[in-house]
Amino acid sequence: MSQKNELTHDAPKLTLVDRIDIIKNHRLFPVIFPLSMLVVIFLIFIVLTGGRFADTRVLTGVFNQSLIVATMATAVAFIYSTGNIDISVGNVMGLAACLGALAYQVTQSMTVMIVVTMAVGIVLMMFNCVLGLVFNVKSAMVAIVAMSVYGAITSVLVGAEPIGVDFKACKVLEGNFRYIAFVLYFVVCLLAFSRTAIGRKLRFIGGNENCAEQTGINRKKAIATSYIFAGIGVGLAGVFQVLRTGNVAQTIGSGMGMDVMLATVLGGMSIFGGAKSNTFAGFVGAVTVTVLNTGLLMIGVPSTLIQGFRGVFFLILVFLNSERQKTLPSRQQF
Amino acid sequence: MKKLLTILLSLMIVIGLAACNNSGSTPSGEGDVSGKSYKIGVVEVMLNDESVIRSKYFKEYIGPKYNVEFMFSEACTDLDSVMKFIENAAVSGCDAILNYYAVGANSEQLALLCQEKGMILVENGGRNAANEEAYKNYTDTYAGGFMADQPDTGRLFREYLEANLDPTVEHNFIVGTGGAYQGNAQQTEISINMLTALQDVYGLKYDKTIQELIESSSPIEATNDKGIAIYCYPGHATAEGWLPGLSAALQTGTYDYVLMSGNVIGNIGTVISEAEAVLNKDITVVGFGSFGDALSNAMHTLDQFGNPTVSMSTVKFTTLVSAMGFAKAYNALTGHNEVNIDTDGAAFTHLFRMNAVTSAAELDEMGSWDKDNDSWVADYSVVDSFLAEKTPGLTAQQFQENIYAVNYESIKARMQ
Repeated sequence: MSQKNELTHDAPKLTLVDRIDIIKNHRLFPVIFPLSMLVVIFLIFIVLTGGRFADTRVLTGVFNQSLIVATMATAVAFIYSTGNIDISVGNVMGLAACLGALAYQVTQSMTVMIVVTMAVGIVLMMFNCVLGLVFNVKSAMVAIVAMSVYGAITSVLVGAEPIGVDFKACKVLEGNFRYIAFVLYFVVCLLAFSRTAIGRKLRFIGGNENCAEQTGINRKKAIATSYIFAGIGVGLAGVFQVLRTGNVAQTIGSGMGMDVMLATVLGGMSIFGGAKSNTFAGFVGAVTVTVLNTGLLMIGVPSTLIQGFRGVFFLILVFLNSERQKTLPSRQQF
Repeated sequence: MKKLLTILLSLMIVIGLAACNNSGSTPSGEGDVSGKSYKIGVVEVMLNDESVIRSKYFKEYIGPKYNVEFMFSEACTDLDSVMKFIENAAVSGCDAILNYYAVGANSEQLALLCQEKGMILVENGGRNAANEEAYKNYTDTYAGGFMADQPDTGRLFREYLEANLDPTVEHNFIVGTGGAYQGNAQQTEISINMLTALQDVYGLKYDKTIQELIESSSPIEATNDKGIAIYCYPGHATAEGWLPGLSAALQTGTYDYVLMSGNVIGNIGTVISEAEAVLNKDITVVGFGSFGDALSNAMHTLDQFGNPTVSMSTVKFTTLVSAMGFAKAYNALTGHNEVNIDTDGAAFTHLFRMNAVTSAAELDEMGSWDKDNDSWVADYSVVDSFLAEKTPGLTAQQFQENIYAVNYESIKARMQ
């Protein structure tokens, strides 16, 4: 007994940095930390607004405003988990919504609009995937080209005036349809990613694609699957966008690829994929951004300062949450 | 240690936010309007001289006097961001929205959104076929629009070009059509009048119609039977690639006149100077502007040929326009919505007239106005003349007459 005590006594003491590293390396840390931060921000705003921030109207608003980016971020998690990056999702969503709105103008049918938007979302994401896999071009490069091409096509199709969709018809679907569709998609993604071979294969590929292939995983097939899941989500986001605004303007979706990436990182997921990837990080991140925007406005921070506050906060959050590799990155992105 | 530092920084931000909350611009109640206080959300589309003046005018001058608090948006670049701000303004306790984002066909949608949130909506824009429903069916919460008298603004540009362009001397032009392709009424009128003036001065005939030229969302050469190079260049200075595109066009050396329908004078000065220096060529700029440092610098800065960077600009008095929007919202909030209703029962669009400035001296005279609380063009006497609460029996038409009464001569007399 005394010998054991002596051994423990002689063991090197853990420094604060070591202890923090142990906590950060815990498998649940990427889940708990962003959620905790979200809860803390939320509570701070409740206090600063005298409880008004907990009002149902505010919560509904936060959810509605987060929905589009959250859906896309959930979708793109499948691609990010494999170590691939696609920042063209905003433009894919824009072009899908544009064609969906045009289909509505021709048929005056919301069903057709939804089907066309979803189909275009899937087809365009698959097109990105095929370009990457068949021509062996890195996904990031494909995405950069796709952004310009899809953005230009959208611009030409939309023309001078935004394409209108009867917003009264949109309002009928805006509420329950959006919520049900999102929850269904989110749950399916969650289960597929964490409880099936699909998610395991994608995470494995993201960790080390050579090892994954040597264990018999068909890399191309798995990545194609990830783009199909992403395409469904991006198409769905396009439908949500049309339902929310009732129109499609030239600028639709531009810059949204970066918003999705920001949401993913704020939600605690590495955009370089791997074993710790998950599908709910984007949702948490998107809600965090919206909570900040709404909360800062409600407590009276001038709009000119909000961007600065947001930037500083994101920087701190990412700094606390990110892993800094002690070795060179093992994966070439370009 | 670094982690502790970040936590400390976070705490500092939180404390800072709390401080901001307490140091807001809530009116202190020192105004002469007793009773209820109001909060108005302002949707901004760009952060420039105009928005800075507007913010100062509203917060420091209008707010305390009329018991109104103002909340400003970040620069809203699309309908979704406008809707988000309106939703956030509603939960922040706003009673009305002053919208500077041109929504075209979506007025009804925003009117409905504001109606659902129990807010008054006033828009910087006018009645047209696309937003007829909003003007007719939402008059209880939709207080209509306010905008420049666009044909009058276009006329100022046309008259200047017709008076200053010598038809015997050939020039080549870049015509910045701005947001005309998106339906921006002001930039549409100015672009049409600029192209019409060139047509009249040189007696040329375009291969395409002027409407087709200004509706193009991509740059287009306005080819014509006289062979004069006229390059229609759409878009906004804030758009990615717009300035480099303009610079590239100038660097070809073809163009020596830049006619801009949008408020871009503050953005294009550098590329104009660069082109002049590289090409050793005088480039004349005519454009829409607003009082502030950007226009002042442009008028006072002489290029290497001894000419001001901008030769002519139309200007508006920001506080006059702001006061119009505020008055419409305030009249509706104080139960005098009849001042916002036209004779046909639809919401009324109130108009203001622009002024042309062609020299630094002229600008200096007008530019000394609208600077601070002692020089606002729309002072309390002007604002009161727009408010039914202060001017009993005010009608929409009289409100309009009172706006037109605030012109260069009347302001000059008052300022002296």
